[in-house]
Formats: sequence, structure tokens, C-alpha cells
Amino acid sequence: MVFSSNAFLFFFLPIVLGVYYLFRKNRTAANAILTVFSLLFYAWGEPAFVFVMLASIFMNWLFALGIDRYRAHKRAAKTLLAISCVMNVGLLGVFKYTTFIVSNLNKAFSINLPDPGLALPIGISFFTFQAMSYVIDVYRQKGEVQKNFMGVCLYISFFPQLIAGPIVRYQTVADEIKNRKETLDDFCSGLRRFLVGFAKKAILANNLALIVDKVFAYSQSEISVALMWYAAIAYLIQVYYDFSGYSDMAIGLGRMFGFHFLENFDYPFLSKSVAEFWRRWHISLTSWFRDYVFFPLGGSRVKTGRLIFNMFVVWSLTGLWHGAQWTYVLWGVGFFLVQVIERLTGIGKHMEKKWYGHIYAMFFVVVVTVLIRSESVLHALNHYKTMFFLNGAPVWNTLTGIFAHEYGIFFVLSIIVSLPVGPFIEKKLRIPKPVSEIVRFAGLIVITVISISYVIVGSYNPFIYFNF
Amino acid sequence: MRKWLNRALAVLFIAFLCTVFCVTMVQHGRMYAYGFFKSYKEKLPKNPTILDNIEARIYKLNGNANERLFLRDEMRVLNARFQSLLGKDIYDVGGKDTVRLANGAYYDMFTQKSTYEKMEELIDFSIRLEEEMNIPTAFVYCHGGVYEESLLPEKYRPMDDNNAFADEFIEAFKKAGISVTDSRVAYRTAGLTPDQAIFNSDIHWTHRMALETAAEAVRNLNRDFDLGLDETALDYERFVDEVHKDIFKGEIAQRLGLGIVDVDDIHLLYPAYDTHIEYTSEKTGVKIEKSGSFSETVVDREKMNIDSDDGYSTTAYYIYGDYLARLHTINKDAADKKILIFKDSYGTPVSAYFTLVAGELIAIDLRSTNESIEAIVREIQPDVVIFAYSQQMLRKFDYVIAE
Repeated sequence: MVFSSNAFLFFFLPIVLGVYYLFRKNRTAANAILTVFSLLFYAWGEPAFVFVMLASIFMNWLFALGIDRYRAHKRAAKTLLAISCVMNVGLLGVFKYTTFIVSNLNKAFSINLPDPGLALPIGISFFTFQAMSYVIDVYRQKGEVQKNFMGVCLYISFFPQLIAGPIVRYQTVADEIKNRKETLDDFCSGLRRFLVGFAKKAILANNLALIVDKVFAYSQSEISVALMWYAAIAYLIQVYYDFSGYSDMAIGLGRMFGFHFLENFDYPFLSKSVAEFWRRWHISLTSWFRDYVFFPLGGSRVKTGRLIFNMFVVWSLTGLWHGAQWTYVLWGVGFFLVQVIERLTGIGKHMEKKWYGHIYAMFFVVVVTVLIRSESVLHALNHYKTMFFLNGAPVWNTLTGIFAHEYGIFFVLSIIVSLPVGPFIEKKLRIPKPVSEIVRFAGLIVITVISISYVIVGSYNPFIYFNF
Repeated sequence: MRKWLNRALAVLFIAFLCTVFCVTMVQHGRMYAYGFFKSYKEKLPKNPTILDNIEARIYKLNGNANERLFLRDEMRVLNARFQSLLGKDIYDVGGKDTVRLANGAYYDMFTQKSTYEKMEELIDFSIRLEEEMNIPTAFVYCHGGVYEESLLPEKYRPMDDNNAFADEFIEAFKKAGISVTDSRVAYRTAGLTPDQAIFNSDIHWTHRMALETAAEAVRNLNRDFDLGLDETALDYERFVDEVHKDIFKGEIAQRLGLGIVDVDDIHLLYPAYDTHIEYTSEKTGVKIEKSGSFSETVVDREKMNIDSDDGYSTTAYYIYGDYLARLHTINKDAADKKILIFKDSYGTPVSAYFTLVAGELIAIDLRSTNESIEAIVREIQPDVVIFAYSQQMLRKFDYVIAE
């Protein structure tokens, strides 16, 4: 089930809220209700894969119990941790990378290994990383072990963050699973946050998707240079609104049930270097890799060669985490290369002090992101040829005019909303706080009605997390 | 202050959700229950597992949540108004790119490129059918929307893939030696105008256009397979054209609202000559049997009933039967040929007109069955198999062709 659907908005949400608040005073019952509804939420899209997720949860619950029990025997605890990591990565590998590995082996060695053609359980990358976070945090004693299976089940399968993140670290919510307090103000501010995310997805991301999906489907001979750049930029912003919209909705829904998740985006388009971009973009993923991969490898306080190796591992894995295709690997490697250069030459720090750092960072991010929207590396190369005047494409054509006219307003609005323009105007014009609050309130009502209308009419509503 | 505004927002939003939920249940609860407990079975494969069962029920619930929701139509109109306010010429409502044609009709453009991998399988199957069972296959391509290039404003033409797809598709079938009727040729042969061929307010073609295409198909079948079907039976001049003014509010008008789109007339066409048809229609286990003239059996006038809330009929396109219903007719006055038609909603009136030329006719929408095409053909053993499909359905033709 997705948040921007009628089934979620008008059926699932009111029912789960009603039932939850009816039993909220009994923590065990309230958690059981959330768990059952979360499993239903997941089953809505993929009934069969609920069992995969439950198996993963059960396995990690047992490992954490084992680690907690044998904590005194460091070696045993460490061995259990290692086995759990291997099994989690193995589970992810089987479902997500089998086809990729088999097809590459077949190509490389001219053999004919059969591809089992396993379907990818939705959100497997997210729930696997959360499961690993649980076991590792218990091992590191950053969160209390859950003796009760349902506690782990709720942490990993909790529907707001289940299929598209943010990747909630166990240490963040460990305490709230048992001891949380739902307040009216939390509920209301959570709802407000949910509506902001909902509007980002329904109005901005989905309209940008119309540009992107159409333009990337055209043959190169039909696209102008301007249209290709338009679509490339639109794609980056689409992913931002889709992802940050979902994160807003998850954070808001979490708050409505008394959970407090960490922020996942922090105005990434303000970045003046690629390294800064990744400090502001999908923060839960970058911090996951930082704490569970980069630091255990030695972090940055090592010799240059080792640092480069550590960064290579992290960024290759980041690429692969996003999708089992060479385009994703290259995308990760692209970010690795630029960040190595930024770090070793100091150009990153330099750019962060200059206004043109924005242009540098955004130019690079837009160009690299074309890779993950392309079906193959070859397709990406063709797109690059168009973008950089290498295939004789016209600068502008009729199609470009149509797209500019039809979707230009969403494009411009998307850019404005992605920057802290509102607070800037309020500050500059010295708008009194009550006035700005009323304007925001009225604006949010209008935007919510429009968002709901987009969802009800069944407008284009792609789900871009299948690969993740 | 923010605290109080947040509270007001929460009250408004939760009240809205609960109102939609409750009113929807009051208005459509029965249909939701019917889908969940009964009609979900349409979606089950052969030998279903428990998971198939759950998936089918979820599918039905989702479908109902999208189709039957309090304020759905109002929200659609509101959304179209919003897009109009933004100055957009292409309305994105219901996942379609809808534009106004030169004659004032609205048209869903085919802006997504499409391939037809399944079509290769269909072509191979058609060839095999003739070789193994001596049953010829014919294709009736039902074109939607743009019958004349000038209808679509020039600036949209680079975006629209309708005619290009149709040309490629027909070419592939002709190349394989399969008999093809192209409704665009029927349009030109009949000398129709765009207003006679397409609705203002609906995605479908008009019944007149369907009649002319059926007539063209009969001519082609006689030419290619010497079936001896009565070509004069579908001559428009031999039909009564009963005009019902301004009654049809088609799917596009429901999506965009009447302020933007005009309603349509319905031309109910039935033979002026005597007919007698044994008619059986079956949908989800409900069987209707009738006997009498074409207009007493095939025509369903109830579909033109005016919706009391709306003032228009939203179902008038289906005056020749529900697209999901399985149709079986016997016409002893017609040539002694058994014709099997696989069809979509465009093909539904074509099938209806074919009852006038076929001694026995069976028309099936593949969406209503889980059987493979081959299994159905083997069971029915027709003299000819016809596929009457529009481009919309050809683009997502994913039925099981052979086991």
C-alpha cells in the first residue's frame, strides 16, 4: 500500500487511528494493533512477501537474544553478530542481486546459468537495514534487547517507514516501543507534517514524474538539448520530493503514534559541494553506512590509501543498495570519485565557501543522477550525448515548448519549494508571526484539498522504490 | 498560535477522512462487500492458493476504493479546474493526458511509447490455429480518437503515438498474412465526419463508427475467407437511427466536468428490417436469456436511463451490452457460420452488430475469464476467430494465449 492512495487515505488511516487510540492506554495491545496493521499494510502490495519479512524479523530477534545472552563471552557474541550480518546481507542478496549476478556471470563467462527470476519484495533494502541496525545496536548496547518478538516486529515492520524509509535506527526508537507518550500536540503537528509530505508527493513529485517518464521514453532523435536537461533536473527533484515526501509522511505518522524519527533531508539543494549534498540528502542512509560500515572499516583517521578504500566500499555499497544494475554501481562510484577528489584536493571545502559551489554541486548531482534513471549504461551515454551537444540534437524543439508550457509551473514551483524561500521572505518582509502562521494554515488547507483531488482522480502516481 | 492552528487542521482533516469513509460505506458498502466476498473470484487463476485468494480480494478492494468513493466526481472536476487555472492545455486526470481536439471533442493522447511483445505471440498463435485446426483468424482494429490528422492541434502531434502504433501493429499482422480490418479505412469508406465517429465526452467511438467498422469487417471476411455473410445486413441505410439528444455524459466528461466538456447525443441504431435472435448474456454467474428482434434482445435501453443526481446517463455507451458479459446469440436468418469474437469495450458494439450476420455468435471479453484463448477456441470450434480490440487494450494485452 502506498500513502498516496485512496485505500490508505480513506480506509486504512482512519481505521488504524481509530482502533489504535481506542486501546492506546494498554501499551501491549496498542503495539499489537500497530504490528497487525503494519503487516496488513505490507501484505496489501505483496501478500506472499510478508513471510519473507517475518522470517527476517524472527531471525534477527533470535540473534539479538543470543547476543544479549552471551554478552559476557565476547567472542560468541561477536560470532553471532557476524552470522546475523551475513544472513541479512545474504537474504538481501538472494532477492535483490541474484538476477544481476547470474546475468553478469553468464555474460562474462559465456555460460548459461538459469535465472530463478525472484521477485523483489518491496522495501527489502529498508527493512533489512533496520533489522541489521537492531542486532548491531543491541550488540553495541545502544538499545535494550526486545525479549518480546512483537517489539522487534513493530520496530522493523512499522508501516510509516516500512517501504520507503527513513531507515530508523533502533537506538532512536528503542525506548519508545515500550514507553512512549502520545500527546495531542504531537498528533496535530505530526498530521501537519504528514500533509506537507503528502502534497510533495501528490502535487510535485507526480507531476515531475510526468515530464521525466515521458522524456526518458522518447528516442534521442526526438529530444532537444534543453528538454534533456529539463528532464534530468526534473528527475533529481522528483526523487527528492518523492523521497522527502515519503519521509515527511513517515515522520508525521510516527509522531501521530508517539514515535519520533530523525530527519532524513535538510535542504539538499542548498549544498555547495557533493560531500555537503550527502550530509543533507537521505541522511538516514548515509549515517547508517557511516556508523555501520565506514567507522568499523577505520573511518577517516587512517592513511590516505585506506581512506580511499573505505570510501570506495561505502559508495559502491550505496550504489548497489539503491539498485542491482551497473547504472547504480556507476552512480555510487561517481559520487565516490568526486568526494575523493573533494577531500584530497580540498576543493570541496573551497567550494563550500563560494556562491558558485551551488552550481558546481548541483551540476554534478544532476549529471550523475541521469545514470539511475537510464535503463542501461548505454542509454545513459546517449542521454549524455544529447545533454552535451554530442549528437547533433537541436537546442530547442516543439516538444520542449509543450513540456515547458504544460509542466513548467510545477518545475519552477518545485525548485522554489525545495529551498527555504518561505522563511527567507518572512524574515526579509518582517511578516508578523501570527500572520505568517495563518497564511501557512490557509495555504496548507488549499494544498491538501488539491493533493487529495490528485489522489482521488487517480492521476499518475508512480512508485519509484521498486529497485530500492 | 501554531498549536491551535495545528489542532484546527487536525480536526478538519480527520473529520474529512471520517466523512468520506462513512458516506462511502453507506453509499457503496454493498458493492465493497460484493467485491470482497463474491466478485473477487473473477480475478482468481486456476487452482488458486490462499495467497491468490487474498490478492484477488485486495485487488477488488483497491478497485472499489478507486471507483466508488464519496466526492470522487466533485474532486475530479475540482482537479480539472485547478489544472485549467494553471493554464495547462493537457489535462492529467486519471492518469491520462487529455486534450481538446479541433472539433471540440476531448481525446486521451497516447503519450507513452509502447511495444507489443505479446502481439508476436498472438500472430504465431493465429498462424498455428489455421495450420492445426483450420480456423482462420481476423483482426478488427478499433481506432480511438483521431480519425483525421488535422483534429489534433499540430503542437501535440509529436507527443501522440496513436496512429504510429496503429500503423505498426496493422502492418505486423498484414505481413503475417492475417486478415485485418482497420476502422480508419472504414471511416473513410463510409465518408463519415469526425463528429459522427467520435464522442465529445467519452473515450469510446460512436456506435455509428462501430457499425461501419463491423460492415467493413464483414466485407473483408467474405473477401478473405468466403464466409458468405450478408453484407447488406449492416448497411446503415437499412437501420433506424433513433437519436437521444444530450443524454450521454461519457468518461471524459465525468473526469473533467461538464463546464469543460459537453455531453453527447446517443444514436441508437437497430435494423429497420425484421430480425429474430436467440440471445444469452452471462456475467458473473447471472444469465439473461431473451428471444425476439435485435432491438428487443441485443439492445439494452436501460443503459440510457438518466442518473437522478446527474441528469445524464453515464452508461449509454453500453446500449449493446456490458463489455464483461459473455454473449451467445443464434440468428437463424443469417449465414450458418459460428463466429467467436474476443473483444474489449470498443469491440462490444461490433459484436452486437455481428449478431445480424452470424448464424451463431459467441463474444467474450478476456478480462472476464482466466481461460487461455486457445482453450476457448478449442472448446467452441468456431468457423472464424475475430479479435476486435482498441489500441488502449492492445497496449496492455497480457492475456494467456496458449497454455
